Amino acid sequence: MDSVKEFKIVTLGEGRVGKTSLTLKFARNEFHDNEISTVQANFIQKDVQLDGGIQVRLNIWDTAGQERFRALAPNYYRQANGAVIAYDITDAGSFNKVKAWVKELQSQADKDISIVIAGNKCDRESERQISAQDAIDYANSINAAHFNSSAKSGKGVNELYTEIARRVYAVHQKNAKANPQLSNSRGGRRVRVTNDEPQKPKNKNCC
Amino acid sequence: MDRKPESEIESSIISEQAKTDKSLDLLYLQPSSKTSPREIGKSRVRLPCYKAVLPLSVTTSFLLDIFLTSCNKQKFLISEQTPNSITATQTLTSTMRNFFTCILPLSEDKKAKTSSIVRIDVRVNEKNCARVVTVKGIHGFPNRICQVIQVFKELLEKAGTEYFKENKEDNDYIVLNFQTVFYQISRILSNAESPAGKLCLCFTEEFWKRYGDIQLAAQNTRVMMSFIKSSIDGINDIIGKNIHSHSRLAIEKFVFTKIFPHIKKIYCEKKSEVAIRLHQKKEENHLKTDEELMRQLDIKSKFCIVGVKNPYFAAIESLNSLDKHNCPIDKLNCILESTTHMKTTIIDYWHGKEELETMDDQLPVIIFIVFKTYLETFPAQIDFLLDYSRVNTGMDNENRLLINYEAAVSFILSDM
Repeated sequence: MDSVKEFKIVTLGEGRVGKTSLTLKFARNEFHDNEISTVQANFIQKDVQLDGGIQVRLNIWDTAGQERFRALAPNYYRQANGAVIAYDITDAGSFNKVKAWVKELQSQADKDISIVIAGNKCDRESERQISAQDAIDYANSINAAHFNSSAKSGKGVNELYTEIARRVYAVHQKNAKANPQLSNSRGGRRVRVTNDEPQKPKNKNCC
Repeated sequence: MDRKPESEIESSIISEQAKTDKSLDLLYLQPSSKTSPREIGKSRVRLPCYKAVLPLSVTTSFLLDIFLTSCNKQKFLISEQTPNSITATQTLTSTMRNFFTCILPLSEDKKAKTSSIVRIDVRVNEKNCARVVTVKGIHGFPNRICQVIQVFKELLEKAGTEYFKENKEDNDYIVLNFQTVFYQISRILSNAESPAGKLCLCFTEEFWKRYGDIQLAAQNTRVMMSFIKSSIDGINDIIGKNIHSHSRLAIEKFVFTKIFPHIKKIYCEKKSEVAIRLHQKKEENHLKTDEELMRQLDIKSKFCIVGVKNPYFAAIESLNSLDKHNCPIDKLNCILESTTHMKTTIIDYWHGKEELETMDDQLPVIIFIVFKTYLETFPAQIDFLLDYSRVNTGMDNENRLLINYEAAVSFILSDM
């Protein structure tokens, strides 16, 4: 028997970089009826199995990426445990927006928020405008992870969500140790106790 | 009952699954005399499973009875029973040979044929007022488990048909059922002599004592909602389990019917400034046509429903009906209904070729819909529901939907 902990993940990024497609690919690629609470694309619940048999539930929130709705973003990332910031590797402008999102999260969101950057549309490698190394260097500089992903082919999608799950769980564990009384107040909300059969191991494709 | 060949049974279930309902998840292994141990091993993860969402009027004991009948027919014996679940095992004739095949590691195929386990679990989804029944294979040979599931399904369908025949003059049987429970709960809670009635009375007195002052109460509404929630939980602990599975909802409805008019005043006070500014913004823009508003909001042309008067009318009306209800669940239904109408408007118009799916597309339309509502208490209603969804667990989706509407109000105030 194991308790499943729940974390809020917000998907950010400029409009049309593929935020919704990423979450949909992650949620529907391997469908289990008890893992998706709703058919809506902009709110997906999915359980992720971490090393050591730890199971966490990600509540993934999609957001509107247009610049004019930027001011509304705090409504969505408030109390988020993690953020997936997506950019389009074929659009240099969208990578600059990533930097703006990171700054905003660092100043406005929870100080413990975990960040994973997704260089999406990597199936269009020939049109790449952002060097993969530059993106990785930037991610390292802000203590974030970087993944090349393609919602079209599925490359890197599971990996990036597994990484964000791993990071938010690690933060939760750290906070739980530091302050056991507050460990369930935000993030890592205990939702249920399961005794289901173990899930099928997921393929670990390298991105 | 006519017995069908195993393969036929399986294929009929599978094809039905494909045609009808995703909640019916039935996975199986093709029967074959050459089934390898590896395949049998896989089948443990992918054993047959049948899931159905039923009205609450179908009782747990009724479902367990059907399951017992199905097990008896297929010679499965009960190995474990709880109030909401039964585990049944089918063990074939105990021979020395079977005994050894159970022990030997290389005979997974035969081992599976020797013993099959199937379990029924009945749960209540209080939020949706539904009973969820799952019959799934735990171990063994899928075909044998399939037979139990097939019999269970047939009996359930037969019982369902009879039920509907009995109620053919009243299609609102679920509503009627809830109303019956609500009436029972109301009788108990109105009786100041009963323990639950006393508790309810204490709660009401305490509520007025704590939150009678509207301006004071408006300063910390979340604490007030937590207090109401824990009080409802307390009342439910006393009477709920003995009356009906969704009695909590009935208690909640009873409580909010008594106090919501006052709660509404508190939230209206809290959001009074926002409501005034929202009204002003609507006044400033009232001469704009729908097309102009949509252009201003950058709604994609395919979602503008050109040529249709009053686009998104149904979604707007659903929001306008928020004020008609006192119970938060009913109000949340209005929000869900509005979102559904918004999305189906597009599907209808484009005959399924286009869909309002991403937040990039949805948010401008939501802002348009919020702008078109005439409900003056809209910000207060949303704030009330946000507090409600935050103090009650398992309402993440509802909470997220509500944040869309809160964000829409913010946008109108700042950008229109």
